[in-house]
Amino acid sequence: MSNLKNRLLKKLKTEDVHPISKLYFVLKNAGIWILAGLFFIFSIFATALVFYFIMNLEIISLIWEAPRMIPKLVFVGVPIFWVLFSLGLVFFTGLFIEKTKGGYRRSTLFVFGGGFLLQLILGVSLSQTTLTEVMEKQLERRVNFFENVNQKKEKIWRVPEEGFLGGKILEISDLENWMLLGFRGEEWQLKLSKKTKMPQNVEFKEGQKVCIRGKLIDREARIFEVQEIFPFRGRQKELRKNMRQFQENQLKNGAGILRRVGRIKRKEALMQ
Amino acid sequence: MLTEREIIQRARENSDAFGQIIDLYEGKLKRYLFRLGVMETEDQEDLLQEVFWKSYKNLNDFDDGLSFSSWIYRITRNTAYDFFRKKKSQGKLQIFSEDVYDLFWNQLKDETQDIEKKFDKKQRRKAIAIVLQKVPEKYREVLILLFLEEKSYKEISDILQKKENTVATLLARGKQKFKKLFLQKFNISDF
Repeated sequence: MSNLKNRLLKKLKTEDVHPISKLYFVLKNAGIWILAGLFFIFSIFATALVFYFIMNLEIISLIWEAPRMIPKLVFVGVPIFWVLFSLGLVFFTGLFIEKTKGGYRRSTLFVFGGGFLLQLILGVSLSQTTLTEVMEKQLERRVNFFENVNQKKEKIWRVPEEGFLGGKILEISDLENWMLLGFRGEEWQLKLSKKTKMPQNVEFKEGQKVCIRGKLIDREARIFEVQEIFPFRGRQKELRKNMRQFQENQLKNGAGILRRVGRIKRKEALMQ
Repeated sequence: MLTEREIIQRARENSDAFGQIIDLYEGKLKRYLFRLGVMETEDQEDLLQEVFWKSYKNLNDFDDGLSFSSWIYRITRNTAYDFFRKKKSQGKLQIFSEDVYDLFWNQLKDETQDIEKKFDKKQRRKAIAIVLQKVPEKYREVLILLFLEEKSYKEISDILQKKENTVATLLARGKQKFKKLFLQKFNISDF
């Protein structure tokens, strides 16, 4: 018997040493998997939030319409923190998976690339549910630095020089002249025309928040030419909601909007 | 005669059976430690004792899908590197045996025909040992495992806990580095 073997076996006996229980190792490995899972779930929520912002701010369509606004849109509209946070989380998920037993044998592309892809798919799917809206509200309430979609959106629609103006309708004098209280608290005179694009099934009211694409005519006098106007809540989202209401209203009261427009036209004719 | 797996299973229940594992691996691991650069016999003994102690305590962590040899080599390698870190040194110069020298010389012979004529075998042998010492650690350990310990890519991957592709890349770069350093050494001809 070698010296080493002798010494070691004697020491194991005298110190009554036994192999560590299998359960300890199973739990240790499970712990790493649980951590990886938690990081991954958080990464899905973070991704959902990113897409919720992008969809609600309609950044993609705005980028096409106003390429000069890209830096501002990306800076203000894309929640960079959440993008980095979600990427960081999925990265750590990958690292944890690699730390599991036999994790080093898995392909890096499979672990990180697959994780990222899955995060994207699940994140986008989750962003379509109402859960993200709830999450956003909770975060806004609990986290000081969290800016909600509306706050971010207001920032985007505060650049009249670039053709982006938003605020609350103060007064609808006639079809072509409206007054607006901008998001910075300043009053604007809006010039509308027949060319102005507006959703057909939306009835604009005084006090309603709107977004306007157009042209700054006079900075000092605060006159803005309206090329397109739509409700603050978003073109698509609001349109879908209003489409349902519009159809119901039409059935109940007749064509509400047409009636209102007709009223204004009659008033104008009388004045002439 | 019991298989290695049966011995491991027995050792989990009875420490005496672990003696058979020591018998199987003591010599191999001592040689591996030496090749990693643990030159002092006393250090080798201490490290071996630590390796077997850790192996016994963690016997239930041994993954049956892995070869036991890879698992115990991994523990040995990690223990040796812990030892180097504590001592803030790396392995010392090793003079290899004839067969080891041949293995490394074969890696170089295409580009070193002139050297073969100019320098005798003793000089070349010393050069190989010195150059191997200069090869960065991450490449050297792969070269040692492949050429000296004659491990397969899969086994090296399990020992180093790196992907097989990574092992292949490290090996290719290690060979290149080794050749480059070796040729540089001859150009300087300071030995």
